[in-house]
Amino acid sequence: MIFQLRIIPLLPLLGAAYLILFGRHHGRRTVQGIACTAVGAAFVVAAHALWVGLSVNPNGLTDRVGTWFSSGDLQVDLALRMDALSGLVCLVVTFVGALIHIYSTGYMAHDKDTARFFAYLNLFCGAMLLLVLGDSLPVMFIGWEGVGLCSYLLIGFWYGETANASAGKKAFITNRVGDLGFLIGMFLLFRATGTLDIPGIVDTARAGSPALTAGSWWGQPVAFWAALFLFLGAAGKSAQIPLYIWLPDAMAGPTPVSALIHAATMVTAGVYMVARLGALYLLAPTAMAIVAGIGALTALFAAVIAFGQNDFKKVLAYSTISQLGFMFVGVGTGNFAGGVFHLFTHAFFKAGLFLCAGSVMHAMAGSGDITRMGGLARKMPWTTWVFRVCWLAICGVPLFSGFFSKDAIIAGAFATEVFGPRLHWVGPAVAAALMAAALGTAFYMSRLYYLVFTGECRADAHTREHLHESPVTMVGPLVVLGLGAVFAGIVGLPLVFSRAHGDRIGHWLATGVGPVLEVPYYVEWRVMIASTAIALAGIGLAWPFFGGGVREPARRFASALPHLVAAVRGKFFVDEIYGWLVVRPLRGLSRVFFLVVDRILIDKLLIGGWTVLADSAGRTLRLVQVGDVQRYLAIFAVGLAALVYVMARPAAPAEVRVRIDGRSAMVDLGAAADRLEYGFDFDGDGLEDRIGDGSSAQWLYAHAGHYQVRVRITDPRWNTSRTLTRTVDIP
Amino acid sequence: MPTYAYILVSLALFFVGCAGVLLRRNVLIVLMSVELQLAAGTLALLAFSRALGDQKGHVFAFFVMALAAAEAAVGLAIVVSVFRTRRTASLDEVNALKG
Repeated sequence: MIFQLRIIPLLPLLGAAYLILFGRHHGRRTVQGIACTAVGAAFVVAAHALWVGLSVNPNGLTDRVGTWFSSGDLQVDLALRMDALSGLVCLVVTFVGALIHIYSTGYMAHDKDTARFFAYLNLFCGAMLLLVLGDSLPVMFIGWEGVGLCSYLLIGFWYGETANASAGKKAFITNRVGDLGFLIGMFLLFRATGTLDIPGIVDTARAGSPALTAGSWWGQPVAFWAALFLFLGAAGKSAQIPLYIWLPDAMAGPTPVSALIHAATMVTAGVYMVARLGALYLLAPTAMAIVAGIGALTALFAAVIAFGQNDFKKVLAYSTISQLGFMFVGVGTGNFAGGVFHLFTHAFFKAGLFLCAGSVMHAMAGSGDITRMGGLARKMPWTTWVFRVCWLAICGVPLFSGFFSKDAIIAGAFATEVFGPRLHWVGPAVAAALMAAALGTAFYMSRLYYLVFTGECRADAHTREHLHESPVTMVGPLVVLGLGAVFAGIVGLPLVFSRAHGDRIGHWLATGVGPVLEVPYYVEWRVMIASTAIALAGIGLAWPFFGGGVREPARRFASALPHLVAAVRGKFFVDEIYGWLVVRPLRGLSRVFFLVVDRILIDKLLIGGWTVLADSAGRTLRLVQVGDVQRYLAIFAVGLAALVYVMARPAAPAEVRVRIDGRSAMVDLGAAADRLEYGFDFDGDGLEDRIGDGSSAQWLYAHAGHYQVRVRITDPRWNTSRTLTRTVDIP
Repeated sequence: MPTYAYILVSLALFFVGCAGVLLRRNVLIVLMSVELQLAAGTLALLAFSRALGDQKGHVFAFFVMALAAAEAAVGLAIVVSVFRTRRTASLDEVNALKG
């Protein structure tokens, strides 16, 4: 092994560290060069490791850097692993990452904070690679949190505007909810399997170990709960219901960020994680059904919301949420290769779409309002062509990449057997939902295309004059991604086309995610015909409404159903509902805590209480300080008298020795002092049994038992006395 | 005379002095009462010295006289100083250190 895997994430991480520390001392060109080189080199190393390394060792390469921490039974290695699955995603991340770095050199050419931007972008790539390559859940979690951090930093990159900063916070906080799920899932897995290494967990799950299949709460196996909580984490990161709300707001960040983080790579981390732990999910059909169901629901729901959005990037954001739903249906139906295949093709066409959006907004002076666009095809030919192929790809027009990956998922959902007899209906149900979502996708994407690129330009004269094609640093990556959007599907041709060359990606991924899901040919054919019809129908249907601008039927539809249109425009008011259900109660609770705990308990009682105590003690004690010397003297005299009285008491003897001899007890106080009187009560009846000036006395008990002996010493001159007690056991 | 007679006189003197110190308000009277207490102590020392035939008591009596003279000098100096600044010799009105 020539290369070590650790080099792959280390390169961008080092780039980020250097740029953060010294970036501002360098010119724009140097900064861009360092950042692009770091990611480009990571791509080269990753490609080398994948091509050369995996051909030598098809089961995967592992790079153990060392023990990270160990505690009791838990040992976590800082280890990286590249198998077919992580290698593929790693390649996508570095390839798309490098392209978007290059694109950013053009897009961010006028921003004064170049070093910070590229440092964050490099940091993101490093964290994402750590997430992908991490061989244990904790290492993966570090990457997971790292990409979340970069997402936050880059959404709020233009922090001068409050809206951007709040969008960053919203993304971060929403993801915290999911991260909690990830952590709980991790704990459950550790408790059940005793390891956090992904291969260890996967092997335990493949073996169907009773540690994971044993029933737990509500009669569900442990695997179900672990899978469900991990899926909560995935839903946070990958913007699924109920945690999708952060992604549309994340569009506040610069467009390359939206393309890289919020379309191509980070948001697919949840899909990747479910695929990585696929064996675990297969043990819990109910969890699989939930994953697939949520995916289908999200795909449909987000597609509907996308109808009503008028911001270029918002449409694409909802489209991303919808496509992520497709991927979750893929992994949720046991069709892990299908889900990852869609992840792969989506990375190309969605990144391409976003970069086209960036290119358009670059030309439109930063505005993304599609109602003010139109007719851009003539002004921006390259951008338009790339957008066209990406649009056809996402719509699922045959021979474009999206067609194959989307079909693989839908056909897989029809054919899957993972749900078992009781939940068998889930597969066809989610497949039907996805078909509806695909129709929606074709419709809203066509609406976007028609409104932006066809018809007459609706922008004001000033903007119209400045319309221009973007520089070559931006168009270059666009074209590469466009080619990817067309041809990426080749790796996953359906088996019906060629038994020998079909579904290469599935066979290739089989070492990582398990055997290929076999789809009967008749299902495959029907799905292909149906989705071709759906794609063309969506594209065709959108023309009468939006071809060349908003047309009469669209206006009539809006005025006929104003409430529906308002609900879609308002994103079904989910943000507002969450505001009522979660944010307001939380704020109320915080207010209660602030007023009761902070203001009253801490400020008034714990802090104020002591001051009041000290103050009132001072006020009380000052009454003693009357300033009258004679009163002081009187108190002094009383105190002196008391002291004399106390000092005059007879001294306590050094020890009270008790000797027991049979029933006889002898109490001895040591040497007797002069003129003192001693009284002894042996049987604890309160009456003294021996009185005199002797310091010792003897007593014969009649019965065995437990007695209390009391000795009184009195000085008759002062009439002061001292009493000592002891207990004795008489056998 | 028996020793207890001297002791009784000493006690009487001491309590008269105590009463004066604690009850009178005029600083000069208080100082004089302190002298009475010292005199009571001296008398007790002398009485015991005579009863026990030990000369140490006499020595202490001289010590006490010297001490009383010094104390009277310092005390009167303070009284004069206080009178100069506050125009009073009454303890009721000298209470600047009141809490």
